[in-house]
Amino acid sequence: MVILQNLISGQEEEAEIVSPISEEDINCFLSDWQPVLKSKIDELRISGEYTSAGCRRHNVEDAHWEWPAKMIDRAGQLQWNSYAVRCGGKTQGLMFINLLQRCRHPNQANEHMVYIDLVSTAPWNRPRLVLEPTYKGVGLVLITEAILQSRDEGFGGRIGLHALPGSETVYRDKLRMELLGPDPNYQNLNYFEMTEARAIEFLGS
Amino acid sequence: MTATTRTPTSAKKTLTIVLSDAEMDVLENLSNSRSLSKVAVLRQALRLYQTIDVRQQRGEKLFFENEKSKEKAELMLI
Repeated sequence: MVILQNLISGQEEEAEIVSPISEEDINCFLSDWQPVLKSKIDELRISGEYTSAGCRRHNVEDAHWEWPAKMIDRAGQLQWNSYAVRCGGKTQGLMFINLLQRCRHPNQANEHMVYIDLVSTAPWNRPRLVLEPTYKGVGLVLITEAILQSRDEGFGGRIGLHALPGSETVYRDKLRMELLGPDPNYQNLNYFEMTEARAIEFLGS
Repeated sequence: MTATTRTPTSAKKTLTIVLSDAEMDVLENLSNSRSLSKVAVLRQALRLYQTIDVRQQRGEKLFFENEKSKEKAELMLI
């Protein structure tokens, strides 16, 4: 159980982290997330802003992620774990992690880690997409869960991920992950890694 | 955001396994070299085995590539 801050009411609310993502979360994605994301994408297409920069500006870079299809494809596969954050009767965030990838940072090359494949927060929580985001810190809750999972697996809290350009500042400045540069094998997205030392520091803070 | 409690997400079951000396040696060596517990090594092995099996069933092949020579060799799984 975690506490999320509701920015509209000013109240703190109890949230639940569940694993794996269930049908309830997928239904919430289909009925509540996807229409908002699709509507914004349609709006960007009409205004001629449907570019990577436009999607970044309006915080919908992940609008093409097919959570329901990924859930079906990855169901029962031990290399994948999925998580949902639920609060206020809705799914507030979703995440997929992979448990088979190894570290690239020279100080921990080839060590085990948790790779964050996908992490998203509900559209109504996103600055730049809505005027008044509802819950703050959903993404951070999920990233923290990935670090804890890494620690539980014996991977020392090490995590890695490829960041969409609009999220890079979070990983670099807030989480202080190591930037290893663009990955030519992954759409040139910047690759970030959290070291074991940083994970210990982060969990202790 | 404040983390308060964290509960296990799935029930665990116990399995007792019998290994030969050679198998135990390999497990201990992997455990030491990978800095993982023996259970963690076995979990990783199961994840990897299943991943290979799933991809093979999808009609994919498994190759090893020499980083320097770029020479590729297929691992034949029967």
